[in-house]
Amino acid sequence: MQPFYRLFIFLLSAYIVCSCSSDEEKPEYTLRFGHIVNEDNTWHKAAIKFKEEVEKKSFGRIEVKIYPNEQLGKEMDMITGILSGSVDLLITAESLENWSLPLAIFCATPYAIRDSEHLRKVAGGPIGKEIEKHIEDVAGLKPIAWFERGARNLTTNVPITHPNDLNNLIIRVPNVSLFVSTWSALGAKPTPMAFSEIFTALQQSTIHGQENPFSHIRNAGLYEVQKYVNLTEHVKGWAYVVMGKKQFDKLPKELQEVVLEAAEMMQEYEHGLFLEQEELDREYLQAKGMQFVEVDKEAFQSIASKAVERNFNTQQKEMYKRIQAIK
Amino acid sequence: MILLLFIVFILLLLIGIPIAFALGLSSFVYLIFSDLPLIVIPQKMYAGIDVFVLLAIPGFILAGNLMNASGITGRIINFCNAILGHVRGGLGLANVGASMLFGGISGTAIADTASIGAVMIPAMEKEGYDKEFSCAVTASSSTLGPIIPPSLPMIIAATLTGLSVGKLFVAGIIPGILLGVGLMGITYVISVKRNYPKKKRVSTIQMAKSFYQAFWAIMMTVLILFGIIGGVFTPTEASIAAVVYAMVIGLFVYRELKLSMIPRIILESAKTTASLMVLVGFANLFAWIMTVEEIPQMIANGLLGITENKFMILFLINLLLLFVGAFMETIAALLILFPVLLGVAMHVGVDPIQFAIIMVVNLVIGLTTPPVGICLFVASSIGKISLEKISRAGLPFLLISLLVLFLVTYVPEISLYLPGLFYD
Amino acid sequence: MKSKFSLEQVLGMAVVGTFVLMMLSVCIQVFSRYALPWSPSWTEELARFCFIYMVSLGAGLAIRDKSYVRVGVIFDRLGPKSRIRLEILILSCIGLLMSFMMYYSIPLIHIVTLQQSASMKLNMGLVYLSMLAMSSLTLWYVIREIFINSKTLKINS
Ligand code: NA
Ligand code: NA
Repeated sequence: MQPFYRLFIFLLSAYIVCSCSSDEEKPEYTLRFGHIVNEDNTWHKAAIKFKEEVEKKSFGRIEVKIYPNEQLGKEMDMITGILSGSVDLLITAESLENWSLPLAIFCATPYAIRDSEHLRKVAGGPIGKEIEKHIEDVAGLKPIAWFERGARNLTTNVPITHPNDLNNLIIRVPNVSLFVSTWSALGAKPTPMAFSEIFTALQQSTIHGQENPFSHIRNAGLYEVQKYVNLTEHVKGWAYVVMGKKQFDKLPKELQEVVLEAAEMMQEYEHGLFLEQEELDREYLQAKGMQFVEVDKEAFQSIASKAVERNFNTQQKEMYKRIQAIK
Repeated sequence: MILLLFIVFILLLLIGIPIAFALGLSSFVYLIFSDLPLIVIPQKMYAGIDVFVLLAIPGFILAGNLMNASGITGRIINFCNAILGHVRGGLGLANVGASMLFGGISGTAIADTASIGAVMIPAMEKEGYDKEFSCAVTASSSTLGPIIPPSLPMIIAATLTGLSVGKLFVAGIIPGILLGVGLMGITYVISVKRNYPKKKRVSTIQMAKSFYQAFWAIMMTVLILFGIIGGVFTPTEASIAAVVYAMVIGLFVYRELKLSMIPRIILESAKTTASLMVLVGFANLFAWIMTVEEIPQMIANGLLGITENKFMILFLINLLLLFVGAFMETIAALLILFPVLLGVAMHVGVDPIQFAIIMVVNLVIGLTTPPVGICLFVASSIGKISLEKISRAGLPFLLISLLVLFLVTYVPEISLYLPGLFYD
Repeated sequence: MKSKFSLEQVLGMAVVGTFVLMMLSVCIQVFSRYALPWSPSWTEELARFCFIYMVSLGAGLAIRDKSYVRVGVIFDRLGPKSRIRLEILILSCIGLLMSFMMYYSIPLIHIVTLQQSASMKLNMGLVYLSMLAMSSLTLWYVIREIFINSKTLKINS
């Protein structure tokens, strides 16, 4: 009975400790910061940086609690949570499109962004400001920082160098209609599926390929079931850290400043981590035996761009052109 | 504050409020006293049930009910009687055997107790078995239902943590067979001691005939498992395939199922599913509050603070779950504790698939232990005999279950051999 | 004047209908994967929404059938009259929870009208409407059961 007794004592003391600690000096504001990736991810490390900065700069008046791994809910549910006041901050991207935010699709539009340099000019420039304002005005979500994401590449078990090679290959795509139509146009058979189901589905050949950045391929262990990384680099995008507008407006002016300053530091910090991690992930995949295949990017781009334009409304088309026009 | 959540929950549970609503009400009371908005009540209910993998649950429930209505239970029992009846305590052995086969169709233990108990308990009594013994065999062996695939608790465990349902199903096969054989062994020993009857051996032709009739039931398990392992279906699709299969067998092979019965059966299955999903939804709310208050980390750190030894941690978890299982229903306990304890187990190097099996086996044992053992309740109402008597008669079976739990906990290969074979 | 169908029959038909539609969409999903050159992206979504409605519409009926799992330790020790009284107390507690859930599902529905589903582009307010249906139907059946129980209590005394 010894361990059981100890367990009981532990539970009892845990409660006592818990109820005592709540008498301590309490912060005036608690911000709940949720995201969907695990503790090893650069997003999580950046969130910790934000927490430290905010708590330091506000002299403990604000407390930030971070919940990784979908602990507070799935991405869509967390957005609902922000709008209903149970979550305060969230890292999110193209899913925002489904919240009456057509311009948020540029966080992940095939062949809109060429490279990191171009991305910085778009997300960090006037177009970025426009998208941020759009998100804030329509949905009441205030973007306070943006993170660059690695390019999405297609992984398969046969090398793919040209869209002609796709030939009805079943490719898993996220449940975003733009992705479905793009991959259909390229000649594949896109199937929307949850991220968590990819590994098993590939292993059992329910699907033949999938497309994601290096970091996701690594974290989901897809190198065990896929041979080739075809460097399609079809989507170069970014993610937003959003805060509920209501929650932000509730803070006094000086604390709003603190949050924005900390967000800026988090953004810079994440960018450094990202560049480092992107290289590490690539090396890791290579070491695990994945082969990197150069593809005819122009062939992919010309078909994909047409599909994207067919899918877009006038407002989106106009912005697509403006983004591509930025040199 | 968080103490409030648990105290209110236990109080509500004790006065007899259904578990689903006890979870919801205690969360509600907590929310009133905290700074969290009450709007999370419908929000978390919705988020809890908006999960694709859960769609497998109504499918498997319906498939089980259709099979039942097709007279499959009777055929399974006939088959088991034909091959085991001539051994001493044959009907007892057949009871366990039928539970194993029935486990391959149903995903819960209650369905198993009710369907097999209704036939076997009276039959055993007529042949001169003690009533408490018959009820105890029925209740104990019905725990095979959620261990042998398909399994509702395993689907729930998978949705909570993103584990593969297919792998979990496959991992349950050996532990299920082990438990079935163990229960048969103890049934035999007791039967010999008490000199329970045996029947005359049936002719080979009769045996073949009963096998042919039970064959279609066994094929359903085969369809589900190979469909999932072979990558033909996802688990949700497999559940629908099972429904179609059960309809075809019931309508055209056994011809006991009538088209006009189907809407009624669908409605019954939907109601069972609905009550389960309300539980899932409110458990999601309850678990969300625990997460916001960082209780899971606290429990994890606390457990790991006692010891970091893998064997000790698993032993502590075993004890905790036996205790919880005595008071709480399997799926409710799983919903609240699985994500929390999985983190602890993985920290000390336990494979998540194995841990899910440990947890399911651990919790289903609680279905046969007082004060709250649902299979015990069902068996007692069929046999019209007090809970105390069945529980006492069930002690030897409980010991066997604990032995199997011990093996599953400390010999990872029992759970991991088959998934390794099929998936890696 | 009595209407042709009772609430129960209508609900029953709706529950069976959503169940069948759910199964059909999953069947289409399997069929299209193996037999068609394209896979529709809406099958998973439609199946999920049918499931949510099936559960929401069935939750009230399950109250009437007493399908919810509960602990009967105190219950079993009571006399018939106290049992009914306890039953009424339990039902009232459930009713309280459901009234709050009903009240708060309205602002929730309002919030998610901003959201469209990913593939069918359905307004999510329509899907979250199921939470209002679940809470109000459960409340309805709870009140009905309370009514029936108090009537038996009166007859007995
Ligand atoms: Na089973
Ligand atoms: Na129990």
